[in-house]
Amino acid sequence: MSELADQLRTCPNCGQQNAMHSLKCIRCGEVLEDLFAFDDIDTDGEEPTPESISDVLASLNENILLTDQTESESSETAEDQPNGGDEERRSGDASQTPGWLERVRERTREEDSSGEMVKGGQAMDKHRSAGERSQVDQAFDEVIQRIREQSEKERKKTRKMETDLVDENGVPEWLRRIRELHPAHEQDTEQVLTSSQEESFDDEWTDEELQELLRREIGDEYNPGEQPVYNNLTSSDNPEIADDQSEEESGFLPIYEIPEDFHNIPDDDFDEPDNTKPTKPGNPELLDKDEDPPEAGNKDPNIETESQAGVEIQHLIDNPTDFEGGESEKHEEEENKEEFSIIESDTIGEELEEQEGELPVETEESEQAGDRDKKILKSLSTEEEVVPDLLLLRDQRDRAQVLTNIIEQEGHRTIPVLHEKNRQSKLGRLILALLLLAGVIISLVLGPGDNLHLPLSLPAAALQEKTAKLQSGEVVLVVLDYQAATSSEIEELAKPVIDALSYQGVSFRFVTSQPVDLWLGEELLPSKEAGLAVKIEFIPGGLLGYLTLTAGTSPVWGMTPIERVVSGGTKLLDETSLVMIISDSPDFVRNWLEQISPWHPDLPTLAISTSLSEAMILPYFESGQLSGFLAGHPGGEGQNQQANQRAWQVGMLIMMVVLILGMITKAEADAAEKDEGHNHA
Amino acid sequence: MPDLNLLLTLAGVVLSLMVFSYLLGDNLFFGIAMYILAGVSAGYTAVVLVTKVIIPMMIMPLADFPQIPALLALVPILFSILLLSAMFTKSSKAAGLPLGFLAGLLAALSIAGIARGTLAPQLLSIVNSFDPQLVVSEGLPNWTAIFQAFMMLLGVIAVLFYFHHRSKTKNSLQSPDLWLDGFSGVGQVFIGITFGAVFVGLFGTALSALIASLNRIIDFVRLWI
Amino acid sequence: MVVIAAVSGILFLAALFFQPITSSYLNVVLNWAIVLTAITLLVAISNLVITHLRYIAVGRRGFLFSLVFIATFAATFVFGILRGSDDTQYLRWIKAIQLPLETALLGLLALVMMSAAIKIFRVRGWSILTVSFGLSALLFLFLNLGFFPIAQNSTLFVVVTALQKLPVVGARGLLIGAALGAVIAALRVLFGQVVENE
Repeated sequence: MSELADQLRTCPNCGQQNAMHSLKCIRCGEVLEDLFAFDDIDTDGEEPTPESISDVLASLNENILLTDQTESESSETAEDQPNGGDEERRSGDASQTPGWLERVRERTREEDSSGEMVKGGQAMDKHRSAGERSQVDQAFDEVIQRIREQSEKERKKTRKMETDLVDENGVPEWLRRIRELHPAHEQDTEQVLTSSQEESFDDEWTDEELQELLRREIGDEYNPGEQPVYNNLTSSDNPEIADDQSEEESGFLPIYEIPEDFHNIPDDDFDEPDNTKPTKPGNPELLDKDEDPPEAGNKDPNIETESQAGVEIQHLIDNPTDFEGGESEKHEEEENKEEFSIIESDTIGEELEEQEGELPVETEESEQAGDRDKKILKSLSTEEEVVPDLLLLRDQRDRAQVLTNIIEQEGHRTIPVLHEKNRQSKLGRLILALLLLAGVIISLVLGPGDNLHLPLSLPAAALQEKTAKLQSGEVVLVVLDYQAATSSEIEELAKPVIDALSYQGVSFRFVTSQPVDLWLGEELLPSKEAGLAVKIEFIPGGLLGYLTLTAGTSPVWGMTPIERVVSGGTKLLDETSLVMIISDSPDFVRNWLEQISPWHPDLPTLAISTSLSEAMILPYFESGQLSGFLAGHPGGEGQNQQANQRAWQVGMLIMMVVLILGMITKAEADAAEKDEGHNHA
Repeated sequence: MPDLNLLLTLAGVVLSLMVFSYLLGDNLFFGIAMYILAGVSAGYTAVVLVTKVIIPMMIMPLADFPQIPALLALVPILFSILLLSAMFTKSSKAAGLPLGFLAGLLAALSIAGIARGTLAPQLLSIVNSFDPQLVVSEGLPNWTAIFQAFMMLLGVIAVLFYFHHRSKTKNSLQSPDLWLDGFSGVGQVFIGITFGAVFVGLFGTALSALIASLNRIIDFVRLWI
Repeated sequence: MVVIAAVSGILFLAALFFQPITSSYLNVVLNWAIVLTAITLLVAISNLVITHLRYIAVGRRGFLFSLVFIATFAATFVFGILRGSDDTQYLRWIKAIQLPLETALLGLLALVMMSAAIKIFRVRGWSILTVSFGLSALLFLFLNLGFFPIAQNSTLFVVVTALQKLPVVGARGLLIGAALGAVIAALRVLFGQVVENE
């Protein structure tokens, strides 16, 4: 980067900092000093004119001191050394003429040869700069003008009427363009205008005239009395001032509605206005963004008030639209904008009445013509192409609609297939259930049936052997841990064992950590005929409580809370000869064998459980942790005394049949699929 | 006034029928029956907890204040207050103290109990099945015992291998070797046999409950016939 | 919470190993654990009640069931507190409601298992697991029928006894596998390596 790039030049006119290479100031357009300066040429002030230099040279030539000697010397040396002779002459005259003069003469001679070039260059520069200056000025003026217009638009945000765009017949420009597009209606409008012009061609606007004008321009939907007019406000370049409508007058003007694709994007004021597009207030498709506000006495201070009212209305409807309030001579020609916005303002009508040279006013007699014009506008509106920003909004609108639909579907079954109930499967399940129910009920009604021929299982045999060895007076700790659902099966297994033990004179201690076993276990208590009054004790904490009473010892400073609750405290298993676990859960049996039994490894443990637990408890019997257990139907002579054996057998048989049926149906389904596969192949 | 026993029996029969109405589909009666069961169970459990655990083990020891048992009883009270705070505040970190204490305690119990009560005995049982006194009978090998011992060893290893192999093949995309698949299949056979036995056991338990329930209904109906 | 769990677990494990010396410490700590467990259970029941009360207050769909739950819970709790948990009449009512309901519920399971049995092969297809499961179930169902005098035939008895031991292999393998998994999980708690669900 050159050093010059970092340096700035200050404009002598406005003080604006400009780049070093700039010729004119970017702010005021003032010509800046030349980038390159010739030596010994005064660059501070004005450019040295060629005349001034020639005058100097002429004066130098007229100098007496320089003329004689120079002429004589020049004649001698001019032939030999045309250039160097000057120098010799100069040097010869140096003693007589000052050095600076000599240098000047030399320079002059040089410049004479190149002076023309300089002159020409300077003239070219001057011409060029003048041309450039004019171009720059012109462009700059245009830019400034546009900026001013935009700022005025933003400030005012009102619409102005076209006031000056009338032809020689007094027909407004916009109307002329409409007629060009629709010649069929030209006669009517001309008649209307003519009549209106004949009847009341004066500079004063009446309410009716303004209303009619609005109706003609906007359409039949306008009804300022019935609906807030600000609904119809759109970004527009040609604001139309609405009259202060009375309620009576509002009847003939229709309600104007905001179209669906209405948007709030302000128009691009710098685009070229398309004067062929008839516009309609409130219809964005018709909006011509390129139009500027009309020049309608825009310097009138009342317009400022009018624009302020429009701004307020704009804010009310949250419609940050732009209204071109500015004016420019340049845009006057382009102000044939057919879009209007309606402003409801009480002062607008009064202000308009004061204006002169406004658009011709229509009377009520021109309503029909105005209606036709509105129809023309409507028809024209359909022919408009959608601007790109509206397309974007439509896409967004579609997405918003999709999102809305999705939100509405929330909580509803959108996929009915997933929620369809399979009636066929429900019917099949019902049939199978009824089959089992029928078999069991019939078996129960018919009676117990024959004996079960089940062999005594090894664990059951071991349990019988262990219990038979108990002596009278020995204590058996019966741990209850089953639920009401399995009470029928548990009690059928446990009751005979307990009765047999009680018959042997064995003492029992019933404990449980399940609240339901407090009343459920009463069925297992030894009969009162044996003379034993046994109560079921509650051990709090479940397995933690058993562990506390097994592993822990009473501290020196006193008893722990559990020792106060459970009689005997930590000596629960100390005086026990046998532990009998009556549980319907294999997990409780396993936990007991893991947590409690290791603290008393010599204490035999028996278990009475359901057939569900048989498979999972068997490994503990195989490993020697359990001395024996009863589960399900252990077989043996005791089975013959069990009730409902027929129902049990029927149930088992039905399950076998159903299982085989499932295998067969699966095989058939596979065969059918295979056949179909072969057929397709 | 009807006999209370008869009334209670009638209530039992009605409730049983409400439960069996589920065969016709999930309906109001089944729902009411389930919520009655839940309400009664929860209420009775709460009564027992309050009367047999909370009051005697947490509140009554405070009567001996300021003796050591009373002071020690303050610790569970403090834990309980921290635990109750979780009910009133959604993100209560104070409840982490008692829950962490319980979790650590249960973890320690699990390690000690499982190691002593399941792992060691079960593994020793497999090893002890190869005891010479068992596999040799009267100087001759007891092929039945040997076969059973080998089957036990092979089966347990195959079952353990099946679970390990199954989790591994789920995560990896490589196709396993044939012998691995075969050994895993052996494990599946033994697992299938166990599941079959468990299935029959569960059905047997449920069948017993069904017989008892239907028996109750039939007996009630017989009362009126 | 992880640190507390690890510290308390390690201390308790040490107390278990040095049990003769630390038995009183074990007693005290386990008492705390019992009370804490009871409080935890009470908190769970309270949460359940509050949830159903909220359903009723909001008028959530199905609040009728919540009404039933609250009514039965309140009646059971109030009468239990007033008359005592050992009252005979009180226990009769509990027994009359809970026993038939739970028994019928388990009986319903038998009826549902019928449809499960016919679907199992259709859903899971033919595999080693399903075939062995089906054959084993049929075998044990047959053995439980008790139609044939197996005990009287020694050969048959031996065969049946051997067959009844077959589930032990799988059960033992399952027990060892589950035990190993539980030990690893407990060790992770003690070492403070509890994985939190994101």
